[in-house]
Amino acid sequence: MTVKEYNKVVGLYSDNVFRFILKNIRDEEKAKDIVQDSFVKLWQKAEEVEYEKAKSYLFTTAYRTMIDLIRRDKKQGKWDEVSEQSYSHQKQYTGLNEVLQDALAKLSEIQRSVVMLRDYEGYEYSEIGKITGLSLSQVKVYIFRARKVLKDYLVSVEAVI
Amino acid sequence: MEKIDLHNYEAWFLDFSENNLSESQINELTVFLKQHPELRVELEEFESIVLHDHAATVIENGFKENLMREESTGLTRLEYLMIAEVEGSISKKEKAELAALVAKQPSLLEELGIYHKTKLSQEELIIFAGKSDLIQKERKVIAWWMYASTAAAAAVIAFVMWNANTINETYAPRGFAWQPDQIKVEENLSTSIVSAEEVEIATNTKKVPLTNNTVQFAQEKSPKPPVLNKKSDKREIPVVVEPLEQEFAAKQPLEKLDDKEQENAPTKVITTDNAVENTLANVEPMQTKQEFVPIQKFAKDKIKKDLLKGKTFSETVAEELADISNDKITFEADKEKEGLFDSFALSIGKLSISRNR
Repeated sequence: MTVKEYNKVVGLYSDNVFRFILKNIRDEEKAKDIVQDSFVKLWQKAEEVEYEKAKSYLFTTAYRTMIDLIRRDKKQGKWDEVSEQSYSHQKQYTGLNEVLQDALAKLSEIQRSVVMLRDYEGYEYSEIGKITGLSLSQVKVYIFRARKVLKDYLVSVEAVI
Repeated sequence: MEKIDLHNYEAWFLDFSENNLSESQINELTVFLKQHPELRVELEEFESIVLHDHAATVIENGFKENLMREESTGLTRLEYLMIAEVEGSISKKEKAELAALVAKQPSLLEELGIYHKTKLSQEELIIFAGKSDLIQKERKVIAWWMYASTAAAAAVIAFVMWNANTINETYAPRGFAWQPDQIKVEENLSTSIVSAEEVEIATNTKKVPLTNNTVQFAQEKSPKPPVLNKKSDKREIPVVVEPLEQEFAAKQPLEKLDDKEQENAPTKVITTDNAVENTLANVEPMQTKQEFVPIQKFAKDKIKKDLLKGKTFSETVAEELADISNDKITFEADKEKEGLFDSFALSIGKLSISRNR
């Protein structure tokens, strides 16, 4: 991958990677750090990674970095504090997207990741499997279960409203 | 019977297990279970006891299918079909199965609509602010021989500019450094040589006995102290052109000779031959206005002249650089068909650069 191609990848995918990470961890600074780390790693491997596979490489790197960060924070007890805040729903919703974002927060990290890769990035099950290190059938199961959770959350919110 | 809720669902389960529910009540129970899937386990416990006795009724209503779970996902058949529809991974057979279920129970369409709402919108954009920090500057790769070519070009330009500035002054040949002070002295000498007084001395050459008058003449010609001009407050320094022998005469005042001694006194003879005289007469005053030749014209003329002499461009440059630096400069190169140097060797004094492909 040339420098020109690398810069093109920055323009094309940095927003997407940032969205993917930010929605998962809900911490802008940490999300920025992960995106920057991912692009640094891509730059270091620029000679080996082909331009066509750069997006997949970025998401894979970002996802694994994020999982490491989550595990580290869980050990330190930071994640529980974040979760407690993010899982409270004592508010009035103004639109479906808002409800859906809260519903997304109810998913496990892996469910959230596979659903976002599927919906935001349009990846096939097999591609998601490569990024997350899961088998095709595992990806399918996680996505199906995640949809069920999201749907139940929407129903419950509608019932409350 | 009361409407089913979390307080009375066990009674409904019991009635169901005893086949006491009407068809509409069974449908109501189904909807309730969808809203509270965690209670299915409890119903299954009832079912395991009594379901076989009422199997015919359950099969007729499709309730058993609703209770069965997919092995992979753990979802009911209906849930699986709806999600597969939303995911776009549903097969034709499964699609027909779902259509049949929806046809039987139109309220399922609403549920299917809710599943469709679980799709995240791709239009939601989040801009990453640190994008500019990630951009890498594109660096052009320049081969080392390009640096050498650039250095050679810079040397040629420096050479041409140096020549343009000095072409009408003095061009020192190899081995002689340019000394502007000496050139000025030469100019002064030339001026003094062609001055009228000197020409007069030269043309009136004859035997002149050294007398006190000569001393007097020398003293009068000695420089006077500068006179301060009060009006302009500027010192006017008289310009005196002195004969070459003045200094010698002034430093050695002669004793006064009597007549006899004068007759026998040695006579200092100033002689000049006709060649010198003619040369002096033909000397043209130096041009005070210098004409500058444009760099391009000078370079063109120089290269043209050398080309006519059979020299190559590189030889011309090498020679001129050698003149400047007093170093021996050689440049040898082989050319390819495309006009690129296949290999070359450049040596400037002790420095040598060579390249072979």
